[in-house]
Amino acid sequence: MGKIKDFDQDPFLDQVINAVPSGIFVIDTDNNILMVNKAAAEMVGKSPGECFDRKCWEVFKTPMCNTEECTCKRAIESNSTIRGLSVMYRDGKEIPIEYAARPLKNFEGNIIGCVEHFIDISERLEKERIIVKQQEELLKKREEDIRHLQEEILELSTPVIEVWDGVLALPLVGTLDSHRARLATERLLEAIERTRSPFVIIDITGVPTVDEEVANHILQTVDAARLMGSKAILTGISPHIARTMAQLGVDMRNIIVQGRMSDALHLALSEFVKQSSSQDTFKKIVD
Amino acid sequence: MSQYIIDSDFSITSIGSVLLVHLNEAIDDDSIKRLLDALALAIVQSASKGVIIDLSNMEVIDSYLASKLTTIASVASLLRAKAIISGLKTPTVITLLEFGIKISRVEFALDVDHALEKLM
Repeated sequence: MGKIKDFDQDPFLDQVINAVPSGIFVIDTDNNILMVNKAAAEMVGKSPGECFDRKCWEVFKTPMCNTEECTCKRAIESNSTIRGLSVMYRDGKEIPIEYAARPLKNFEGNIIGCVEHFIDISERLEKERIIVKQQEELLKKREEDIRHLQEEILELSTPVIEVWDGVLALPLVGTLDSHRARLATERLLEAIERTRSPFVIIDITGVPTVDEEVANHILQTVDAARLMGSKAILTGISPHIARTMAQLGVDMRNIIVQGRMSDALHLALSEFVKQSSSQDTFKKIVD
Repeated sequence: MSQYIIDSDFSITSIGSVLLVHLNEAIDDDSIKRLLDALALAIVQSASKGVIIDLSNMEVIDSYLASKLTTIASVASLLRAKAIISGLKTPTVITLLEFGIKISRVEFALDVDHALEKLM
């Protein structure tokens, strides 16, 4: 502890201030160090004795020191507390600090200097960095999970089922956007090519509502099946959807519509029977 | 089975009462016109009741070929023969849909066998 003019020295307060773990120093209005505590001196690798009667910017070096931005200068000029974050240079290294400065007044209330207090926050910053990194990782993982789930749902929602030899079923469930409709069409065409099925049943029981776009997607899927040489049968049209489609003026002339999927299967099988009437086996199956 | 007409870009084969048309992958617009003439004549001469156009080796169908396929179907139906296109592949169909190319008034079949079944 150094000597501060105008104030009495109190050994008890000296001990307290030296015991405070954060750095504290006091300067006069000409930046001469009047007092410095142990923690402040340790921060720059010196003993308190080495710091007295020197300019504060010779001992403590920050980017703001000895400039117009000097914390104490600003505190004295504005007669208020100035807080902020900065770095302190020591042995070529930068130590992040948090500081606060307040003008020091004598008993008459005149400003005679400034008290500045600062703490090393490298540990805190490191912890914050780790937290931010962990949060980012968590977010990334969550995004990945969501993407994975979306793919899974997409995969699940467009199955092509072989319900009979030569009869495929495509049960559509949920809302049909362009992406899903395209995926479903592609799956269906691949299945037609692979199984050489003359019939496909497109069931829309699981489609809650239909607008013009969805209706067009369905018609396009039917058309795609036709181009492949397969006959598409549309089933599971609810009364609500029937009304909407009629109101939209969707052209359904070239589309075979059946009530339930079982009706469509009956139709497909009876067509098989017609085509190969010599084969009694099919008749037995249908009957 | 006897070859009816063989051109550099296409061939027309007669199978029973059905004509089977094969197209080369790189068929040009002039050859399509020649095919139209030759096919019309062949339908009349052989009194065929069906025409199968096999496109299984075609990767891409442009709008010109699409419109000519419709014309072939119309000509065939006026000559009392049913035209069936067979063997379109998934990528070909997807491209047709994406570009909005329509092939109307033609029936399609999975392959030549399926087309023959439909004509029998």
